[in-house]
Amino acid sequence: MNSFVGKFKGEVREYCERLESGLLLLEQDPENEQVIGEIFRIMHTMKGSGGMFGFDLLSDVTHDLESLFEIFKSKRHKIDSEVISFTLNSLDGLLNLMIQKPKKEHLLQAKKMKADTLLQIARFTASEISTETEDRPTTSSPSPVPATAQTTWYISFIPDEKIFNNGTNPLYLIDELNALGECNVQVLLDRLPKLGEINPSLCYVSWNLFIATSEQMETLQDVFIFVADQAQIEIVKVSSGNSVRNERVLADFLNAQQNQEKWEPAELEIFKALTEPGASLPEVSEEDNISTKSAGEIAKNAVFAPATVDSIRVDSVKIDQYMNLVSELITAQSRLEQISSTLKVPELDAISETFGKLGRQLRDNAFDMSLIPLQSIGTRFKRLVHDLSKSLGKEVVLVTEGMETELDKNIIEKLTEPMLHIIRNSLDHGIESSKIRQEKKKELVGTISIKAYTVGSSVRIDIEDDGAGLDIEKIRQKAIEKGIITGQARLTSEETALLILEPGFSTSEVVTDVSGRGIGMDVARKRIQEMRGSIEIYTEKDRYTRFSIQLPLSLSIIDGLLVSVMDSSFVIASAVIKKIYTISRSSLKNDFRQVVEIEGIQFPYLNMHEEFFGQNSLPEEQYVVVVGFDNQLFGLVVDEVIREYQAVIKPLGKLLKGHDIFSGASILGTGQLALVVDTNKIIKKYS
Amino acid sequence: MAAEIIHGLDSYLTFRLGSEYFGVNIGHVTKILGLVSVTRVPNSPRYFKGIINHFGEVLPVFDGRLKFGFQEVENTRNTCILILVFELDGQVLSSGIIVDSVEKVVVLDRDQIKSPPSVGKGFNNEFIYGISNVNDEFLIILNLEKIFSEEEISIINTVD
Amino acid sequence: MSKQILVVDDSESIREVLAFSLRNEGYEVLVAQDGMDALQYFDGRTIDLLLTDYHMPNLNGLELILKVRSMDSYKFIPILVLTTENQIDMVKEARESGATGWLMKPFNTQKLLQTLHKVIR
Repeated sequence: MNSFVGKFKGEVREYCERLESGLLLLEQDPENEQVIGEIFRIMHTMKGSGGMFGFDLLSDVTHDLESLFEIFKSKRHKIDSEVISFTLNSLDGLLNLMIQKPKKEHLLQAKKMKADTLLQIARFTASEISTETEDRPTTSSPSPVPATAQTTWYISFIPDEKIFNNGTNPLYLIDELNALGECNVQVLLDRLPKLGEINPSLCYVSWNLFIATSEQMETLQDVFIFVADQAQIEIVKVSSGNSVRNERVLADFLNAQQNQEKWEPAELEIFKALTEPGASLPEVSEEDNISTKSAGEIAKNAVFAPATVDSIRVDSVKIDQYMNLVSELITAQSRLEQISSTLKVPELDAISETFGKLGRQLRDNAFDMSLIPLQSIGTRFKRLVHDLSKSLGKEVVLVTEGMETELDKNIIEKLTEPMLHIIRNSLDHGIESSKIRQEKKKELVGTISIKAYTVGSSVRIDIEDDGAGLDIEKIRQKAIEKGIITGQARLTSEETALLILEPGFSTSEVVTDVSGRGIGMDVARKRIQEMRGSIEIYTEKDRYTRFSIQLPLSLSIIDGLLVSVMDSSFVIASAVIKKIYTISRSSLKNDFRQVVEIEGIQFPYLNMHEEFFGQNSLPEEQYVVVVGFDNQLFGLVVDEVIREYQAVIKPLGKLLKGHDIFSGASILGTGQLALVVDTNKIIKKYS
Repeated sequence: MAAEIIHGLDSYLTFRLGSEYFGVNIGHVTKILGLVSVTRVPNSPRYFKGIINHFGEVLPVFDGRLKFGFQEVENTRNTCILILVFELDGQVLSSGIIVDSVEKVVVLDRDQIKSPPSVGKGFNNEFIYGISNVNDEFLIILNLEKIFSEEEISIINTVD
Repeated sequence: MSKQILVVDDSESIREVLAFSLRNEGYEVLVAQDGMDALQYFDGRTIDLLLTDYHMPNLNGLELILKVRSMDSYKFIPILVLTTENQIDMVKEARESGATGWLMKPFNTQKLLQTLHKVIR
């Protein structure tokens, strides 16, 4: 931020010079409107900007000077030489007040300047009645409410037809209300003309809504501050407490509105008592009358059923439970399918099929619900970059792309820490100080970018800094020193870079306060791997370091293809499958390069039978499941293709380290297990 | 659903592996299964037999003989899988271990369990919680946390 | 696609602080130093929000708004005007010229975003 302040200070000096020359011009030509306008404009800017950069005194004093010049700008009075010399004298004072942490002398100086300015103003306006007004456009008087208690309000919002002309999107205002409290929204289309008469540039929609919020009425009015002159807005208190789901209260209220009766805000307790079965009040009969009357009206206003609410908040634990139940349902369904296929009862087949279809829909639905955008943790990254760059004395901007990419909520939660750690690392070790950057002739401001995008059934997140890059040779030396690798190990630079993720490895000579905190790089990788994800590092000296994280879209359920090899079953994610071919043993045989050619395209393959079970009972005819990843094709050769299969993936658990070509196991209808193939890992390992 | 370790029990389940007699605290045992079919996981170490579906959970199963450095033998009708629960790096985990036979449950007071001898019988002390004597037989009580925290271990120090 | 915001202000520091804050929030930011300079950006590209100062040399905020509103492609885009607290008249004028809303200086990031969210998402 300091660079902005520096620039601003420079600007103020320039403003003062311009004010000075303007004032001198006025001395010759006191009625030059253009010059007066210019002076007023400069003061205005100084005042506004001063406040933004924390120069409150400067802003405060300029405010009064601006008021003084308003008198001349509006031609209420003519400027005189006294004002001109007064203002000229004030300029030096202004520069003196350009200070963020004022001392007592500054405060006194500002006070004196303000008093003098007001005296000048008074000279001209003594006879006038002050026209200054601080009123904001409000629709009705505010009513104080204790800050914490909720109140239910009724809001009627009828925008003018031409509201779009000002670039207003009324929906955002409804969204804003939604963020303030629980809303019950009704969209009114009564102004909508016949289809042929609709003019898309006009707004025909209006809204009625109830909101329960602990915010004050002013806050609600503030929502509409931009459209107060272009809409009819009515805000009425309905009750204390939250009654947006209390249909009786809402119906009663709407009746009163309709009959233009005065509404006395209801005390929620009474309504509670009435709506709770078995509860009785002393004057039962009397209350009964009221409720019978309104019961008839409920139907009339049934549009206010909670179904019209756009979204509800659900406890994330409930989503997890839902997800688990759906997983179990799908496992149970595959049992059913298994049984029905053995029994061969047509009726049962039909039910099993329907059940399967519903299960899939339910799964998609549950899946959808548990996805949230990466954006939801975006502010934490911004915050980290902002705070940390400051404390490290580095200038760094964070650029994000694809933050709308959605991932399983559980993944996002588990991803936060590792990502924060990587960013921390980039800020600390990657981005150089601006002095070094200057020496390297790089942009002084460092950049950290986060880029997220979907690749097949996984999501990739790249975290890149344009800093020093990793020193591959140094890493190698260190890894040898620490006994992580031997001196003979031949590693590519990418493989070497990955060593920094090994336990007990720290690139920095000194463990700094920053990166030393929280989890380590090795733990970051572990967390990512636990989610069936992977991490890679690409780097170039003095150019960049990029951590590329790959994660599955969801942890729990995938659409897959069930295949068998020997007596074992495997699941391959459908999303990566391009094609399936039958292939005879001979066309795979004697190919020492392990490459298969199909339809003129050559690509590497893995014969799962040979690799996992040896030559034993290798069938004459096999299938090649062609999977594609990153424009790279790879063949998985299997014995049989069984069917499409929805796999509920169970983790293999942390005891099975080193079996990373399988991302988990799925329980088949028979109760047997099928291993879920991690195609990315297989490709990496075997191609 | 997740299994729990029950602490503070003084009963021990005893079982046999090769020539040796072992025990684990009963609080760590959740189930004794007969030999169910185990799904092989290709490319895994020999002592790791595969995975099983245990009430909807996927559990790894280890061959106790291979894991502890004994010779592999054919399964007999006494061969069974113990489902054990233990804590590792703050996480409660379950795992199955194939043993030659399950013997019985013995109750041992604290003073009946002695710390493992510093040198003796060629066992890796780290994996032994303590030793005791049951019916004149030498019983090795295992420290599960230690056993499963290492990828590839042999409870017997390389003899011959 | 992130939203593109055009920031118009003759003060470089304000321009930069706005651009910085907005980029930080993931917006794409274009900057112009006055109304005239700003007009070059209305060349058919997508501008999701115009954030303009009121007083500027060459073409001032109001004139800029009138120009933008007269262009078919940009007729309905949201426009926020930067003002200071004592300029209620200006606010009225701006509204009449077609501004969607206004943002009072001084403001902090929170206020900026709060106001922004009234007109774009």
